[in-house]
Amino acid sequence: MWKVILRRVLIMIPEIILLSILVFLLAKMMPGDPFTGSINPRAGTAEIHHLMRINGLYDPWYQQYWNWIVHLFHGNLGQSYQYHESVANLIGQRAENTLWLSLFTMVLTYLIALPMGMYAGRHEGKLPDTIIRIYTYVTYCIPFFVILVVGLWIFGYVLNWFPTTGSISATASGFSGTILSRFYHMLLPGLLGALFSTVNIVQYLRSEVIDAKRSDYVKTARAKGVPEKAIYRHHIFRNSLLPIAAFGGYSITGLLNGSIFTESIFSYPGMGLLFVNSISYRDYTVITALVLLFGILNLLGTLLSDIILGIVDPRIRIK
Amino acid sequence: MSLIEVKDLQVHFPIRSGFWNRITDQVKAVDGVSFKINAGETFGLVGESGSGKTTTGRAVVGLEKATGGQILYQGENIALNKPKERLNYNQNVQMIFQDSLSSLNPRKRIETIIAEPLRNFQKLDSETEKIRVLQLLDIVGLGPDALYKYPHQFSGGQRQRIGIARAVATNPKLIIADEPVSALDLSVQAQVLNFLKKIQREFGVSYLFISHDLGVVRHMCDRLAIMNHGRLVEVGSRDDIYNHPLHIYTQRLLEAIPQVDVRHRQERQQERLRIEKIYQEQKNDYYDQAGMAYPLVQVSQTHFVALPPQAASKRKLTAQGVD
Amino acid sequence: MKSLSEQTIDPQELKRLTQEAERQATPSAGKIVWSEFKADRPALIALIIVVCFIVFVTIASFFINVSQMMNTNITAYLNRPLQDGYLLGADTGGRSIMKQLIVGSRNSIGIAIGLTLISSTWGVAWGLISGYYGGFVDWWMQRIYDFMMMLPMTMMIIVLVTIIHNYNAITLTLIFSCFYWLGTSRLIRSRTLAESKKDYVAASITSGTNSWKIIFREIMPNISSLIVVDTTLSFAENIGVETGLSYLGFGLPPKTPSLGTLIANANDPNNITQYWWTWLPAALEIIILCLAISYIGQVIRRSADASQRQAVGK
Repeated sequence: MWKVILRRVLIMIPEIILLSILVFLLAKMMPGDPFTGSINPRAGTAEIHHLMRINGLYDPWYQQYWNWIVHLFHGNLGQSYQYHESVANLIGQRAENTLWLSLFTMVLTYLIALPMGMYAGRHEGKLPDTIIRIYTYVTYCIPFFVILVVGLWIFGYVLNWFPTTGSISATASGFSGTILSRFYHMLLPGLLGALFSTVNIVQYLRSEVIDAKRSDYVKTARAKGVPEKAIYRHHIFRNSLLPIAAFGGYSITGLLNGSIFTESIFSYPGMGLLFVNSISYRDYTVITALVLLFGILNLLGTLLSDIILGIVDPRIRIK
Repeated sequence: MSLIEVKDLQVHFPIRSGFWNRITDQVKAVDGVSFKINAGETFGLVGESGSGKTTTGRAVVGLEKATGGQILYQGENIALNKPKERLNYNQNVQMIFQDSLSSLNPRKRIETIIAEPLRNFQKLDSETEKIRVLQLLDIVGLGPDALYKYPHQFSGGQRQRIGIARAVATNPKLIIADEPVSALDLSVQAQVLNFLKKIQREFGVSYLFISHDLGVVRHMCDRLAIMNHGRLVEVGSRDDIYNHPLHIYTQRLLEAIPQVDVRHRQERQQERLRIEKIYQEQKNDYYDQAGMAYPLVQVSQTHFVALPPQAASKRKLTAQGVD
Repeated sequence: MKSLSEQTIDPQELKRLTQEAERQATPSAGKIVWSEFKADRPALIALIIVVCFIVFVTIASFFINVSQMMNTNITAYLNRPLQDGYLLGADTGGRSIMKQLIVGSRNSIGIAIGLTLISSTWGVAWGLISGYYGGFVDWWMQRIYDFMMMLPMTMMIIVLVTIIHNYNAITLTLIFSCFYWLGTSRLIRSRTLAESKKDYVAASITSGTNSWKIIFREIMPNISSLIVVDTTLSFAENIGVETGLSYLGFGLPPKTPSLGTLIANANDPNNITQYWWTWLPAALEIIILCLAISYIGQVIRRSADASQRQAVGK
């Protein structure tokens, strides 16, 4: 098993290198240069040329790439032109918000999805199952941002149950007050995100339970006189638990992708919103750092899931 | 000159493992198999499942890549990795598959299925092609109404006959029949086997008949080979194998044929136990340390057996290859 | 060998047999799907709604002068629905929501159709080739797949959109297509792997059929129902792709209406509650459209499964 993980990690290295080259080249291709208008709006072209030269921007691209990588390994991600702050610091503050929101969404997802999937599978074909299936079907096909906008409108504005912007209210004070306010702000985006990401888990768990119900090992257990409740709890649920845990890793990709929408719509100051703002201001150092970071996080998510699945499925483990 | 000669055929599958996923071992599905098939004869290849008989058949027709050895067709070495050469070769060497349902494309009509080799090998105009297909259907006892049906509309036996019609479409010299009847009911088996025999009589085609059913093989084959763990353990005429088996594995295999003979049940069981005991005792003599059979030695004009070296030298026999 | 003359059938007889066999033959997949739709009233309604809607917005948008429509008209500032002949009211620029909705729908649906066609074709071909050849080819194609999977898709698209100076609906569709073939290719690959192991593929090989023909003429028809279902469902999904990015402001260029830019009116806290007609119709339209299309996809899947059962003969 350790060998498999180690090999899997080694395969990641060329992927990360390729990603970094891609990101670097994309950053080079972005229009404009970082100095025009940043220091002195009236700076002449000669001055800008000089700045470009001393900053190594006229070097061949591989030279610049190498410098960039060396800086990267020193934790130096560059300066944000928009915020006049080091990119590492900037992302650090925002990452915390995104992390909490993502974690919260994931917890909510499992809290909603597990009972739903189990119940739908156990009472297959009955009314609650039909309702759950309609629910998964509807949330599956509506685009995520539409769910968010409509949810914000209904629950945030019309019913006025939740705050509509930000991550914390300005009046929150004290330790518990801060935490409560943060929690309150995460509630609606978290719930709507969970609503969307439960679908896969519910569908998987439901079909898994239905398959298991008809399998020989459950029939054997039933024949031995194991009570129905215990069959579901100890046999069926336990068997599908790890594959479902593996969904967690894969869903990191979805959560990160979704964070761009969630955070823009709820004006929640995380990495997604930072990215959208940086694009508007052409703040390239921040953009490249974020793309690279998201790519690596995606990779780690898949790695995590593959490892979990490897533990579950001996066929993958041997390979 | 024989029609086809297989010389020291090897099909090894790599096992990858370890940290760098390098090839660390080989599964020797076929490991040095040699035989010849003469024009117009049926050569049986018998073995238990996993013995490599199907892989041998698939390698001969070119579906499996041989990792070593040669296949000589009418004395010429066939390089199956060259598409053009292979195309010519497949015109003369065709195959009948075990699973009749999966061997016919479910989305194609029977006409298209049977015409497929015709379209690739002989460019006929559509009228002649249709007549040729009808003719082929007639050979396997199916009427013209089969032409536009789909495979699922036929019974297993009928489907296998369609497979046979496709295999004989280009008038091949050799047909590899990979367990052609083992998926069929006993009553249908005989019918399909008789079609195979009829085709052989009419067109003089040779068969490489792969089966695990010794009864069927006895009915069909002139000569046969017994395969075990990727190697041949005994090759001979029908009489050699069934009446004078020399290798312990062959003896054991023959003894396993069930017989309906209530009166001699006790004796039969005693005999079976005796053979099994001999097999257990002599197992180490007949197989080398790796559990593989020894090379074949000739014991008579037609009979070859994988005897252990001591036994072979005692009988002053030498490995001479298969004739 | 029997001679051909012995076996000839006169053409009349052949024709009769052909017709008879034609009658007896199993219904095609298309017929099965159609009969399924006829039996399922809601599905038929969904199909009619989607088709009629697409036809309507396509034709109606020809009669709308887009540049004139996008001009600001202060007199119609935030007109309420039905006021001054504005059927669905107007936005802050006094532009008719109804007209924007029609043209926007045409643009958004057009892009979704284009994206679906390109990405499905590419994904299907990728999956078929990767699954059929296996070995080295498959290994490399899978590495490329893995790499693409790792890329943060939305971010990459936004970055590419900012890099390309003069982009239009076509370049936008192509950028999306670079990323949205992945799911299809994986699905098709796994089915192709299973299909390639079947004996009819081996029979085609020994019958001298070349690899391309085997892939696209033998294997592909056998996974056609999967392809149709996947294409329909990704069409529903793809409507969300362009509209989502246009919503964020990185989709279609400004002055080109899209359902996404209409929903973006909701970004203004005043619009979202008071002037709901500026964004809600577009949101409802997307919801109805996506629901209807994926419902159609579900029905096709059901009938495809049924025809699959029939084809296997069980």
